[in-house]
Amino acid sequence: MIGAAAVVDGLALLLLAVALFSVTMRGLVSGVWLLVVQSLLLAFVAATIGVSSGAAHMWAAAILTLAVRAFAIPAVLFRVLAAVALKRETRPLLSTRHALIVAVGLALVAYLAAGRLELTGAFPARQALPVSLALIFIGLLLMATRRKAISQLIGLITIENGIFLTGLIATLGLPLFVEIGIFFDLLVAVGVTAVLTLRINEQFDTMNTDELRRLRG
Amino acid sequence: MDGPLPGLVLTWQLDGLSLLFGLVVLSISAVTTVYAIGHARHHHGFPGSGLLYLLFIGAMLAVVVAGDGFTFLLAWETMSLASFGLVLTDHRRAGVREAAWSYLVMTHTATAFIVAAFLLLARTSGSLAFADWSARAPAVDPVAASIIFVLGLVGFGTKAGMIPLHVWLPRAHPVAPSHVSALMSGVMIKLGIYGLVRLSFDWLAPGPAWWGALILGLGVTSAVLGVLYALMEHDLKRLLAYHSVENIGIILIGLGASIVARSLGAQAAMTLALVAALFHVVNHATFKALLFMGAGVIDSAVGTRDLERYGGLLRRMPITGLCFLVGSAAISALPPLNGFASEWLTLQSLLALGRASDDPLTALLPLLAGGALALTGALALACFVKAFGISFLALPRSPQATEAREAGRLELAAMATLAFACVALGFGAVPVVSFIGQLVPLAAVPTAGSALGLTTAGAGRLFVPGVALVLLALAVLAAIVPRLLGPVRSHIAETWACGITLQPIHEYTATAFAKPIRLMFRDIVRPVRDVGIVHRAGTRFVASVHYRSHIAPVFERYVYLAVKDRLVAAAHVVRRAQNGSLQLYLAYVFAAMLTALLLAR
Amino acid sequence: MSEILASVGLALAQLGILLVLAPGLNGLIKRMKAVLQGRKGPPLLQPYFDVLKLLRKDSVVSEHASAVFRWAPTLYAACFATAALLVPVFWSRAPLAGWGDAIALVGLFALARFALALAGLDTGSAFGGMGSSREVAVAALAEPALLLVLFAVAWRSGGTDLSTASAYLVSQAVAVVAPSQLLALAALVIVVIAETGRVPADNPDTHLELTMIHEGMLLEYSGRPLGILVWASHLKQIVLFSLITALFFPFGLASAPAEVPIAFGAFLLKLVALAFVMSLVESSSAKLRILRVPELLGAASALAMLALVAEVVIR
Repeated sequence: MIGAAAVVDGLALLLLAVALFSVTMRGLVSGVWLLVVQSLLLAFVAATIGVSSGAAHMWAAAILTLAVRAFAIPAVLFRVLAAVALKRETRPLLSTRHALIVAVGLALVAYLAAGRLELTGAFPARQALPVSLALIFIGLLLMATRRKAISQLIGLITIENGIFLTGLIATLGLPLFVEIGIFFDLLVAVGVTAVLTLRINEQFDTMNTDELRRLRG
Repeated sequence: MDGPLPGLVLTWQLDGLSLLFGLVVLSISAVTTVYAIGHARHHHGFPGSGLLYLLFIGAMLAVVVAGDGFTFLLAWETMSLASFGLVLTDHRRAGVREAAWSYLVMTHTATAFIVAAFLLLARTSGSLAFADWSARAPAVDPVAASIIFVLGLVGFGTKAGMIPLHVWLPRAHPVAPSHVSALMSGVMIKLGIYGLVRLSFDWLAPGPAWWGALILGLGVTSAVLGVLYALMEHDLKRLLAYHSVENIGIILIGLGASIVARSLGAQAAMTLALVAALFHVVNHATFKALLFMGAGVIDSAVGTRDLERYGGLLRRMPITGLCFLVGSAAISALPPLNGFASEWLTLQSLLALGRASDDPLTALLPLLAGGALALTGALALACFVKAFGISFLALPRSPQATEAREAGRLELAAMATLAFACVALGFGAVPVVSFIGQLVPLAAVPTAGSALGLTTAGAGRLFVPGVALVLLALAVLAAIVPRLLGPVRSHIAETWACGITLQPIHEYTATAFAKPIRLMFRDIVRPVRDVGIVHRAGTRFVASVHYRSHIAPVFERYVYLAVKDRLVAAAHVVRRAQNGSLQLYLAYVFAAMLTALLLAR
Repeated sequence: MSEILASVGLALAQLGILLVLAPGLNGLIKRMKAVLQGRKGPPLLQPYFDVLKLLRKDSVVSEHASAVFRWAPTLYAACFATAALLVPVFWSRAPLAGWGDAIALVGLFALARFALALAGLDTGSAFGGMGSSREVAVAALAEPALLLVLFAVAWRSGGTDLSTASAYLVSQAVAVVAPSQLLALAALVIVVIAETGRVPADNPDTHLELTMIHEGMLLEYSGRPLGILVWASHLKQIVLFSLITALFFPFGLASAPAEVPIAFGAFLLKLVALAFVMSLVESSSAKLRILRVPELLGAASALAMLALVAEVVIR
């Protein structure tokens, strides 16, 4: 029978594939949908670990992930996008082809750095740790090379997902308080960004962060 | 053994490696000489060029059987100077002198590096004899060994045509007469490989893994960039010259893998990679000489090297076409020819090396190099579909191509011999690989029965004659079986061109053929294109459109010109120290004398 | 002696089965696509009728064509027929198992492509030239992905021999669902889409010059040579599908004559499943511009590279 470790491995690789796919996507709506997929996969990972290790708080983490990352945050982002006219990343700093090559290279670096790491007490899914590091790198790549504020938020949430995955694997779930705290932080960050974006869009008719550089002293 | 002058002592040695390279030199030279005699009526060499040619071959032989550093360098220099003279055969044509000059400068710079490496090796062992270097190899200290390795890599790599030291190749090979190009591409650049093999396996003890990784990386770069630049060319000889760069890259991939395996102690992978590299040396010599001979024949028949002027030559020159087809299939690594066998061996050795390493990086790099090798094989196929298809098939694109005449009997004999050799080396891959293993003990791979391949469980096997036999049998079946459905006739008619009569201008051109690849790889190749539209006077109607497309010379602009500019700037600075004043020069002499006295105290 | 007879018998049987099933597979995919798109679609056996009709017709050959044009169909068909004997289809050891491996299979495909690309240029038609130039360009990008997939599988199973790779997977059933192998499977499916000329890489149902790659090279052929080429293209498709099943789902291969009917049935089931996946992919995507196809194949290479990294780094 296929063990829980293999299932988690498979889900982790699927997460990486989704993250790589989002590097090639220029449409903002599709980017947010890919975030939903990422969060669903993370919820599955938490559920699998919960089933195999029997820890109850993993189920709580899974449900929280589902509620906040897969429903609440994307809902906010979709509402923001509905108010915005241009829903595509028109001139990213790195073209799609180059971004994919760089992203694959970053995944390679992540694997070489964390592939042989064996943490004691961790869940025995070997692929998950390199994948989480790769997610952090790819999130940073997204944040650094995209101009639209929503794209940068997508990058930030991808980084967050990577850290969350590390937390799930390494310590079999972070303590529930810390988890709730992180979720709250994320919610606040998303909320503030959403409100600011809407306001800026109303004022300047663009979300392009390049234009925002003119707001200097 | 005393040489031609008193006090000049030349020593020789003949071991398996020398014998192997010597055989390659002799056999290819013999065939090329037959070709040169037949081709002599097409070019007017200067008086003495025949003698220079023989001197060139003799010098190459001397290089592989040299027994000490001095003999080697003497032969090496003679070889370089002789080839320089031969490249200048057509010195009245535009561009030949610049090409020969750049070749001379680069090869001399390379020789300087080789001299430095030799001197460092001599310092450890106390003499210039190769036997002493082999014996004292483990005694060379690691830092010096790495320096010697890098110096030798630069020196021998330039002669081999490794990127980024390759810029002389596409300049010198096209302007040389075709028998000289055949020898230079087929044999001379292999002597750079000979030097590298001697350096890494004979004169230096197994070193750190980065040596092999460096060669592997440079090999991959040379292979991919070489074939991409070849695809962009429509001068047939420049195209072939860039393919030499590519194939040297493939040989270096095998060589680099074997050096890495040696550092890691992976015996099986090392022998497999080394024999793959040596086998590819033999194969490349064969089909490259064949292709250059074919290019020379076509050049004389049509009067230009430009692919866009060829076309339909298969009708006019059937035997040349057949030989060129065999050469094209061999260089594109198609079964059952020799190119496929050596590329198969190289891929297997990369897989073996990957599986033998524990460290993830050393395991991953050979496997990714295998992917790059597959890419170059497929791109080489694209390039030779273009080269053969545009030259020999469809309609002639120029009046000269319509009137091309078949080559003479000697030239055809030479090409047919090499074409037959390509087929024979492919079918007889197992005996040839065993023979190489007998000559070079480090490359002795136990062949699995009568098939190529390692004896480990699950390892792939290749039995070329068997595959070829099945292929032939099935082709016969495919030709005969449909006839059971009844006879059919074939009618001859005009090609469908949407109702108009087909003209040569409607055919695909070489530049158009390479366009998808040019666009897909535009970040690496950097094509530059100018389109100019000329309107009829005073109106908006288009009178003519000028289209110019060329490849930005990346290496020359960013590497060589940059280095040259820096050197010239530094020279300007130093020049200030020579201001012509006699008193200052005397002061320099005085200061030098004082320093020497103080140091010698 | 009896061994040689048995091998020859196995070879002929395997080749015969694949030749007979090949047009049927194409018909099945067309039918499934039609159903998914809400149409009725052509009859299931239509490709057989088409091929037989073509084989009985006279052909028209261009006056500019040379021997290359006349011999290319035979060589093309022979290459895929030889490749068909390298893959274990229903018997656990392929007929040519000790003579060629996965790389030899790739080499045979390259030889076929060489022959057809030259034939496309031979008539002087610009359609053929365009088809040839695009075909070799797309193939150039598919080859590294294909080789990296083969390496990823060979890493686990010990080498590039297809029969031993299948045997290894059958013996270690969990290996096939290892996540890295799944990545390699995804990469191989994309490569097979490109090689068989299906949407989104190429459209097998069109004859517009701007959307042709494979059809461009075939355009000047007619009659019996065209029939051979069409049948050989179907054979190429079924060989590639068999490669997928041999490398990733080899369950059900027979090692004794009694198991052969079950193996045959299993093979048919796997073909139907793959046909369904292909028709789903074809119905849900649009054909890509030729200059976007490298991105698709680049994604395949990226997946294959990741599969290799995941295999190698995590021991």
